[in-house]
Amino acid sequence: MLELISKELPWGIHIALALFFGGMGGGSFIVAAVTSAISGEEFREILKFGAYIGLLATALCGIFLSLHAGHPERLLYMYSNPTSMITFGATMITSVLFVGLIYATFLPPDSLPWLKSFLPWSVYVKPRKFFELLLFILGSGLAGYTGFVLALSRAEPFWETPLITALFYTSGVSTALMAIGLCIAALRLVQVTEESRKLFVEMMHRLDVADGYMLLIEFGVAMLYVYTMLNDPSKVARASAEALAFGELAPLFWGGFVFLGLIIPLLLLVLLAWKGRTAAFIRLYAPLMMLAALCVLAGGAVMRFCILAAGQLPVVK
Amino acid sequence: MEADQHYSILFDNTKCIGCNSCVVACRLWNGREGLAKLPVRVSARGEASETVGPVLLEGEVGPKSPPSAPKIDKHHLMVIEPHPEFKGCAVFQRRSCMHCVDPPCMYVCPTRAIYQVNGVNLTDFTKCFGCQYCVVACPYRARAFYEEKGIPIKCWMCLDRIGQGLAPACVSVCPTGALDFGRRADIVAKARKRAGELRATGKEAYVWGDGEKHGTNVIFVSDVPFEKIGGFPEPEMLVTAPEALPELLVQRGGLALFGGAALIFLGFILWRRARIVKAKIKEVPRR
Repeated sequence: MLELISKELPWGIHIALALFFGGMGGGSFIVAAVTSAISGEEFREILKFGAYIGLLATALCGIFLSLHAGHPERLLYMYSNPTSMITFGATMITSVLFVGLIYATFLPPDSLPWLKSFLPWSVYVKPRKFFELLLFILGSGLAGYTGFVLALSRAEPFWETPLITALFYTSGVSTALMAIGLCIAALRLVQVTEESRKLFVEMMHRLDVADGYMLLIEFGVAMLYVYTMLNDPSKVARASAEALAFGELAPLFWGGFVFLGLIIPLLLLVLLAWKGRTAAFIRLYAPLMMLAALCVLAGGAVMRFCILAAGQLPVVK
Repeated sequence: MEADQHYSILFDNTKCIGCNSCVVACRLWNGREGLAKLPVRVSARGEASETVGPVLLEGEVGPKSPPSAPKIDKHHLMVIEPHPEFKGCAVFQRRSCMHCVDPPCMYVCPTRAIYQVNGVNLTDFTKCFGCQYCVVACPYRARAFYEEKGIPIKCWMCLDRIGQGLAPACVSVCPTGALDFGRRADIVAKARKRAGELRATGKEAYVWGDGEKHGTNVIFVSDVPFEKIGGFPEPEMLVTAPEALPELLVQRGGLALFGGAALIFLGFILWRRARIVKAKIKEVPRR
C-alpha cells in the first residue's frame, strides 16, 4: 500500500527525506549555537558534531531534492523566483552549506591534529560566535522552510496551518539533538579515562534533558495539529486528517511516529535523566541513549512522510 | 494583455453528453501521448518553437488499449469525467488546465519556467527542474508528471491551432456546442447569458471562473453546484497571489518559526537557571 502511495504521490519518499534532513541540518546548527551560548567551551564536542551533522544533513537534503527532480541538471534555475518557497529553500540550503563549512573549520576534530595546523584560526572564539549567530538564523530558516514549503503551497488545506511549521521545526531540532546524542553516546563507549567518561556522560545528560522537552513540545504540537485538522472547516483537510488519524496512514502515524518516535524515546529519556547517572544505570546510559536516538530519527522521517502523504491522499484517490 | 482579451474556452455541462469527442480530438491533435506537439517554448507573439515530441522513447510502447477511465496523465491533457454521485442523470466534468488568470503554478515555480501568453499558461521545458511544486500547488489538479521526460504536462489550449485561426481541437469537434472558444470578455458574457437562460426556465445555474479575482480562462456553466460536482477547489485554496506571499510568510510561517525558536530558548534558559540554583543550594554549607 505504501509503495503504491509513494509512487502515485507527486511528493513522495524523496521529498519526505529531504524535509527530514533539512530539519535535522538546520536543527544541528541551532543546537550548536544554543549550546555555545549557554555552556561556552565546556561541551565543545556538541558544537563539533552540530557542525558536522549539520553539514552532512543539509547536503543530504539537497541531494534528495535533486533525486526527486525530473531534471537535476537544471539546478541553477532554482534560484530564479523569489516568490517561490523552493527558491527560498534552495537559497537557505546553499547559505547553510557555505556558512556551515566556514564554521566547521573553527572546530576541527581532535583525531586529526595535522588539520589544526592548516586551520590556525580555529583557536579564535569570537569570530566563531559570529558564525554561530548567523547559523542560528540560517538554520532556523532552513528548519522552518521544511514547513513553509508545504504551508504556502496553498492548494492542500491540510498543510495550510502555522502548526506544520512549528511541528517540523521542533522535530528538526529534536532529531538534531538525538543525532548529536547518538554520536556522543557512541564516543562515550570508547572513552578510556575516567574524566572524559564523566564529561561525555554530562553531555549526554544535557542532550537527554533538552530532547525530553523538545519531544514533549513536538507531541503537543502534533496532537494539536491533528485535532485542528479533524475539525477544520475544509472538507479536504478533514479527509486528510481522517486518513492520518483513522485511515490508511493511521498505523504508520500512531505506530511509527507517535509510539516509536515520541513515546518510547520520551520514556527512555526520562528514565535516563532520572536514573542514568546512578551506579546501577551508568553502563546502560550510552546504549539506551543510542536506542532512544534511533527511535527519534526513525519517527522524524516517518512523521514527514505521513504528513506529506495525508495532504495528497484525497487528491490521489 | 488585459484579462478581457485572453483566449478563453467555455464549457457548459448542461449541454455536454459525455461523448468524449473532445478527449479523442485532443489526443489526435496533440499526439498519441499528449506531448508530440507540445512546444518546448512559445514566443511572446504566440509562435511555438520546437516541440517536445516525438514522445515514445526507444523500445517504449504506447498504451495497448485506451484506459476505461481516462485520467489526466501523459496520454490525456484533458478528460471528461462523469461524476459518481450523479449516475442517474450524468453530470459531466471537464478536467484540464483552467488557465488561471493569476496562476498559482507560475508563482510557486522556482525556475520561472511557467509563463503566460495571451492568457494561456505554458511551461518552458528547457527551464523546468521537475520538482512538481506546480503539480502540488495546482488547485484544479490539472497537471500530470511525465516521469520518463521528467516534466509536468498539461493543456496548452492548442496555441498552434489558434495561430492558424482555428479553435482548440476539443472545441472544434464538440457536437452539442458544450464547448466554445473566444476572447475572455465574450466567453464570460456568453456564460452569464446561458446561466440567465437556465434560471429563466426554473433551473439552477452556476458560473465558475468569471470573476476578476481568481478568475480562469476556462469558464464553466453548470446546473449543479460546483462543490457537489467535485474537482473544484474550496475558496480558501484560491489565494496564491504574489503580493500575499510575504504577508503569509510573516503571519503564518514567521510566527510559528520564531515562536518555536523562542520556546527552545525559553526551555534552555529555564533548564540552565534550575541548574544554577541547584549548584548554589549544594554550595551552602550544612549546619
